[in-house]
Amino acid sequence: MTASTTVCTACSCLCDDIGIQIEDDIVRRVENACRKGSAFIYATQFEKRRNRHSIEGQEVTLEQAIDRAAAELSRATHPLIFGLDNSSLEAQEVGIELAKRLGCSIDDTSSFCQGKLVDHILSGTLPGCTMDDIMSSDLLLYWGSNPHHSHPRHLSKFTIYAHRSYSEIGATRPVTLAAVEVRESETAVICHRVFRILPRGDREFISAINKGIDGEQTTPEAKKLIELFRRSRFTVIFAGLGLTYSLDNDYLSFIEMTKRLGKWGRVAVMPMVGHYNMRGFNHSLRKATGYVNQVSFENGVRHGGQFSLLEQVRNRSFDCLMVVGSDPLSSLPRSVAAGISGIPLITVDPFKSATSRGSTVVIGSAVTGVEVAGTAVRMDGSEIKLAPPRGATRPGDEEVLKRIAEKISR
Amino acid sequence: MSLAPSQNLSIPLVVVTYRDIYAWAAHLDKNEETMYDKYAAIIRLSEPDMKAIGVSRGDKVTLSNKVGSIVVRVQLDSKCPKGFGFMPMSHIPNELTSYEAGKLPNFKWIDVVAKAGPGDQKPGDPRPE
Repeated sequence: MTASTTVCTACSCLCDDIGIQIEDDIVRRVENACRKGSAFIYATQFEKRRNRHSIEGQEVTLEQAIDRAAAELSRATHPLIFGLDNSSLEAQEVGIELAKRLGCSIDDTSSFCQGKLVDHILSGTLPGCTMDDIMSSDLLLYWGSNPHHSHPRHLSKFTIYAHRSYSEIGATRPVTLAAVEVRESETAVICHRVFRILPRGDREFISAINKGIDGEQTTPEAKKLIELFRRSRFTVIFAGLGLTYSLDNDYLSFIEMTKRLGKWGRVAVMPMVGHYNMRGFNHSLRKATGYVNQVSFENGVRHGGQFSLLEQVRNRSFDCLMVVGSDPLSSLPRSVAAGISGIPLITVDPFKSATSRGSTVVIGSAVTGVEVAGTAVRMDGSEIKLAPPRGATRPGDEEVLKRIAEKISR
Repeated sequence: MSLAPSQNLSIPLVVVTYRDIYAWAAHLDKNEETMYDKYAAIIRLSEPDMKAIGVSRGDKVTLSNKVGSIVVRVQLDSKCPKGFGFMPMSHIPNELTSYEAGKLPNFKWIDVVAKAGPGDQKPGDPRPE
């Protein structure tokens, strides 16, 4: 039996204190991981859930699958690479290089979730902070996010229950925990203050806050939150999908709010990113092109909504789709996902999914963090090294993408 | 026991999806399909809405709109606002979601009509045409 400590890649908390005991290359025990992390780590050894290399449903060798993937991408006039949010930074760089070489589009899940929020943070329009910075905050505000389900150790490892040293006050840090929520979530239940709004009520609530800060008449709920902000030296807002979808990616009023709040103290925003390296993809693509997603390398670097997966599916403007570590057939509206049918689909993914089941070519890859090494960017923008506790019997995404690139005939 | 399933009453609802750890973990389970039925094919409704369509906890409801139709089981959420229903994010509500150019998909605001039953449909399956 060997014991090691590893980083969990089930979500973008990238918890670095996961104890794993392995015997005969089988994970016997997982310590410190949440329900999500342990399900993920144990699932890596359920062969029933793992992808095998295949072409049109028939099992093939890795070499054959790579040859066919390269042939499909070479043949295509307008290929699209999508995903890479569950791949290491190293694999993302290879994926971006491959898109450049193919002169094709590249996009990821952030395109229809928190990419714009991350972009605002990276460009400085919204203030960000690191997990270490949170330790000096005195107001923690979860807005449209329920970490109990999305990032189960967020509260214990980074926020309300995270102690740097012994405190006589007890189990929680001397901070105010608050939430802006549409439902009575598990997080809302433990908060000192909860601001219940109706679905899609975020913009109206933000507007009421901005009015109140400017000294205008406002709602009683907005007044209460303003008072919390006013009393705080350092507020961290954990922005979840609830906020993103309610604002429909238009953060103007939210940005205005953070600017106004700056007069009372420090304010920072942290995106509650889902996939473990979605923020890494945003960093990688921004470094290479200046944009966080929705990029085309056809005739130089171009960016815009027309290069998003959603728009390209709607317009049927691609003729080959390579998906790396993502499941758009399951996570997109069925009415949109149906538009992918009939187009050669290549999936590189450790796990079976609706997308891999509907693919022309499937390459079963290793799980980064559990079986292969790499680097990832946590939700706060910090780079974390991933050291795998187990050996791999499959190639990692980086290797798969490199081998496909070697065989591209253009 | 259901209150009045035979009356076949229907009400308009807005379905809002949320992340659910059990549904997430179920997609990695050895027995994925069964687990998904249990954790993802559910909707949390307010008591007035459950009464309006004549269902009790555990009963099945059909949710339909112009893009699709699904059958899920009902859970009572005493804090759920009337007129809304909460469902875990998964491929199941995506039978009902849609996308308009220039906007995000409507994962957090899905207009549907809800009605009780049918009793023989497996939760999670799209309703046959």
